Amino acid sequence: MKDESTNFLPLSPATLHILLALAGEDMHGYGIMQEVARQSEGAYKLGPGTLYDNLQRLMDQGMVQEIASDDPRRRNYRLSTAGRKVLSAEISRLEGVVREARLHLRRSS
Amino acid sequence: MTRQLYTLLLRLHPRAFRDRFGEEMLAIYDQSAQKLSLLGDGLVSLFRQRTLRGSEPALSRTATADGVPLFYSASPEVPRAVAFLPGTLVTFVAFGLICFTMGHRWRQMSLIVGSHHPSPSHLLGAHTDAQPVADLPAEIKVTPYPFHPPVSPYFQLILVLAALDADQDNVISAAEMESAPAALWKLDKDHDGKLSAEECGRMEASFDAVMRVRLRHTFMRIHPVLAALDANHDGEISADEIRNAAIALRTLDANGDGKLEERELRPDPAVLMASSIMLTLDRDGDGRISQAERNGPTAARIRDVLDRADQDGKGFIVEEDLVIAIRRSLGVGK
Repeated sequence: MKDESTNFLPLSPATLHILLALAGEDMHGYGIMQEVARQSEGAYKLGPGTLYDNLQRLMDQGMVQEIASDDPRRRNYRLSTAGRKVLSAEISRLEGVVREARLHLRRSS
Repeated sequence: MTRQLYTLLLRLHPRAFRDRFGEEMLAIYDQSAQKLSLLGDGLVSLFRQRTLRGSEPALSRTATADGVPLFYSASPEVPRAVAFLPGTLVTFVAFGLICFTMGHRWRQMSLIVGSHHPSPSHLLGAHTDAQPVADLPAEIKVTPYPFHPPVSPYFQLILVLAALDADQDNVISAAEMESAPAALWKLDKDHDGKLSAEECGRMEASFDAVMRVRLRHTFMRIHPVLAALDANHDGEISADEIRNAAIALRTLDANGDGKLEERELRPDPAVLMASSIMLTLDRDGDGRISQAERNGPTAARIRDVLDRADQDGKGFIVEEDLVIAIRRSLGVGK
């Protein structure tokens, strides 16, 4: 039976980075933005509009959950089990792409 | 200034999104050093929310225990009550217009609902073991559709004809002759079991009682259809005469085509004129115009006709004399 997680693949760069940022720990919105910037070494920066637009969609799709926070003005977000499966599936897909890319590059060199 | 612009951008986002994330987005904007780039990001977000997200079905993907498929569940959405008002208004206006159009025909135009022209798809095959019969009696009437010819003034004058002519084509067909008794009974307004002259046609009412009796008999006599139906010529159509109406009507079919056209039903103009003269000049009602009755001013105006009618010199004129004289004057003398 086909894994339902693959229905969401491939992930957009913003979605991939948001899920990656939440894979380590629960975070609030600004923390996610900073973590994405850190992961990409400043090459990819998320604005709040893009972030929350994607967070809304990911929550509607059940990949991210909103959890209670000590600060009522800030909400924390957590990667759900479904989100972790989708992220894992995307990483596997990217690993395959990288493997194929290396194979082709090796043949051509 | 840029903060105000960013606030405006947030206000332009859908309310659900704004209520959920607006405060956090503004807080991040306040902390950020690159405010101009955030304006561009806000514009992109606004575009996505208004164009892409609005059309997406509100589905939520629910994770379950391992091995169990994931499920989508639709969020409960109920249309706003206020959204029903314009739809209700449009429905009532459209319904009212359709009813008004069907109730008021302009220029005698009929509102036709359905297919006017039959197509082969409407025809179904049929099989029968019956032997074909030649010369089946059939009558086909073709009239300009959907208009009807105007009802003849004569048919409007003689109520019996109007009742007999069920399809209002100014022709009494064979079928209409067969169903004549049923049509005639509808004219018996006073339910006395017979038809008076007033029930048979539209008569002049401005006469005294004596003249009115004479007028009734004349009216029933000079109109061929009434004369045929009133077999005993008593000035009324009795129940028995109504029952025999079909047979009586067939006697009027001069050309034998099985139907009665207006030319077969109209009274002889000579008879019509003669009866009018008799009603006017025969003051004592004895059926003769005497020499004394010919002395009045009315008689003076038609003296030539009266003299021609009294050629035998018997000293009085009866209606038959007038009919002959009038026909000769009209050039159709017998």
